[in-house]
Amino acid sequence: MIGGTWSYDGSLEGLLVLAHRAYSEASPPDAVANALAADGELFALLGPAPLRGAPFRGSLDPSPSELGRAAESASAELRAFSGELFDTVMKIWMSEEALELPLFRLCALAGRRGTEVLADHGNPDLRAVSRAARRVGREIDRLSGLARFFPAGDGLLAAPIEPDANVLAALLPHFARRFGPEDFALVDLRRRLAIARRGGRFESAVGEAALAFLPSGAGVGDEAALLWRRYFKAAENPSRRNPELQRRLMPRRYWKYLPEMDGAGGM
Amino acid sequence: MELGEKLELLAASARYDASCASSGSARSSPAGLGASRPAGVCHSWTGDGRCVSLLKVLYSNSCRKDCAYCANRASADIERASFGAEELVRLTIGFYRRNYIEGLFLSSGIFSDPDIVMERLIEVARILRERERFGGYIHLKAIPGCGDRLLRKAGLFADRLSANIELPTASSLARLAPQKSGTEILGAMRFMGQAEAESEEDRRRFRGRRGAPPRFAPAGQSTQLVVGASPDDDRTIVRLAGALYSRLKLRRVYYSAFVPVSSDPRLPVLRGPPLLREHRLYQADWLIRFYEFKSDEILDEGEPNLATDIDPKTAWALRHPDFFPLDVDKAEYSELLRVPGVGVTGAGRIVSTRRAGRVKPEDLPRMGIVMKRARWFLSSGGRPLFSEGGAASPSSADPLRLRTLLADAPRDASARRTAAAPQLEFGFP
Repeated sequence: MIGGTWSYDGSLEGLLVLAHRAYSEASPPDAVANALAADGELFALLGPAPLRGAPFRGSLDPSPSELGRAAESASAELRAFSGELFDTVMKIWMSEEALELPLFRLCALAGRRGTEVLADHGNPDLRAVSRAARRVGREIDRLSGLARFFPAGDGLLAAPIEPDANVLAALLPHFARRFGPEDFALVDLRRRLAIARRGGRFESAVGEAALAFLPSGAGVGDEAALLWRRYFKAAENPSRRNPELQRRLMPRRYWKYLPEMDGAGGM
Repeated sequence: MELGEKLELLAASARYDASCASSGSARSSPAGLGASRPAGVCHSWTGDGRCVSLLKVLYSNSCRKDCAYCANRASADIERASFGAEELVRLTIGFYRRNYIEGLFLSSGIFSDPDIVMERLIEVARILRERERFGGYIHLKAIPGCGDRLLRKAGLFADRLSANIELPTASSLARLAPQKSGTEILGAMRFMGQAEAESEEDRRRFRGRRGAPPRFAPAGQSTQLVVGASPDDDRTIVRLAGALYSRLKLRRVYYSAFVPVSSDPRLPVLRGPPLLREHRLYQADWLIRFYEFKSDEILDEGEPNLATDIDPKTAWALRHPDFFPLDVDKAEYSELLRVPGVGVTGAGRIVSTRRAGRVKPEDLPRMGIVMKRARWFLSSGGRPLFSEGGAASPSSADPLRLRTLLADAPRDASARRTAAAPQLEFGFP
């Protein structure tokens, strides 16, 4: 038994290394201390480059730290053991919930007994992390559809989002595929983080630099937004009106940037 | 007419088509804009609670046909308009780039010869795919009566094709849509099914090698049935849907509650669209698609319509008390699917949890099992999960009391309105 208190810096790399440690040593800690610095560096907030898919490889973290290399190796091993477990670790990090301890206990149990523990829905640790992972998954799915892009100058289309979970990096592969060769940016206004692709190159920014992707006046008077509003109103069938169902499927917290819900017509 | 006005008119004309799905196809265009993913994406929900995934419009709402139930019928006194291909391309690309939509669903009134109408729809899809290199989702309406060559061409550009049957029997079609031919519609569906199968076979032969032919409508075909415009019972509709899934391999059958759009004496007098009936038909449809039910099991001659107070699976369970209770530690996955309150996910979780040990009854709610319903139909270690007044299973419970306990409670004002709406006030002469 190893036990004790495990400390880490709150980064995705740190979480991966410790999740792997619990799995490979088949033993969890007694407690976890997450010491994410308030001014945590960008790469820690976004996660290490190789874990976010091919588009990022080499473009954000050209000289991976020792922790980065350890995380890469940990993630490869966890993924080989179980894609589901790896996905859960990623989503727990994105959830920003203090679920490290149940996660590490689950990893340790999986290391001892194999992947079948991931199917034991009677296990309270599995239930806790699965619930959080599902919430993150829902957020990613919703924002895949509800992020709204505005013309932000120089041919760039930028989308403001304010997600409950830190899902920016998880949205990137979806929009990179969707936009093909075109330029785009995703800006998390809550965390003041941005990821963009311009001229085929990926960029990232934090703080004021992130907000600069959405210049004041971006999207104002956009003809497509005006047409979309008209389309949206006409597509509704008045004899089936059910605004309560609409709110259940599309919670109000997402409406802020939806032109069709009279949200931002521009920034 | 300016583009915005045209868009409003031709979107309103298309809103009676229930389909707006963008699922079933994985496509991308490295050199151009757009990709689609198999699960599809919802981009918004209209005030009627329906998902908006595609720009759903008619190419034209001019129509030679005079189907009694249709808002765009030839005799309707409405404004008429048509898009140009370039207008539709511009709208699709503009909306797609802002993440409003996954792609385009293009249908049309039959404003000319079926071949000409189909050619117009294909031309829009061709420009999007070939000139714009658009990799998003395209759903095209197959115009019954057009040539097979055009259907084949449409399937090479579109992810999904659909031909709407609208009414479930030949007699209803003859009565309400005499210019429509059921034979023609089913003929088009058969052809598309064959073309899809041939395309799959061709691609199998090329597996792993270059030069594989493009897939024909990778998201398959769907259709729509209007519910409540004709006196056909639910059993007729459910059996037709079952046959369309099993014999013509359709991916989806949509049900659209009839919205009274005219005072045509051939139509029933309804206070509103029969939304509860539509909802029950979707539940029955799910039983066929995901719960391994055969369409003949859902309703029989003695009970030709779906109950309004309980869902079709509960109705089946109450008709088959001897099938229950099922032991959570022993029942097969396919048996668990028949338990009210147990869904596909819940049944899967019960089975997977058994691999790690026994299923504890207290864990069932956390697996997503709705115990309020399921406890009447499950047992654990040989002991029923519920007993009341000596009744331990559906076979020994008072059937009327059990039905009352399992009845759907209207949850909100809209549901109450829906439930209260009379479903079948036919005024057929």
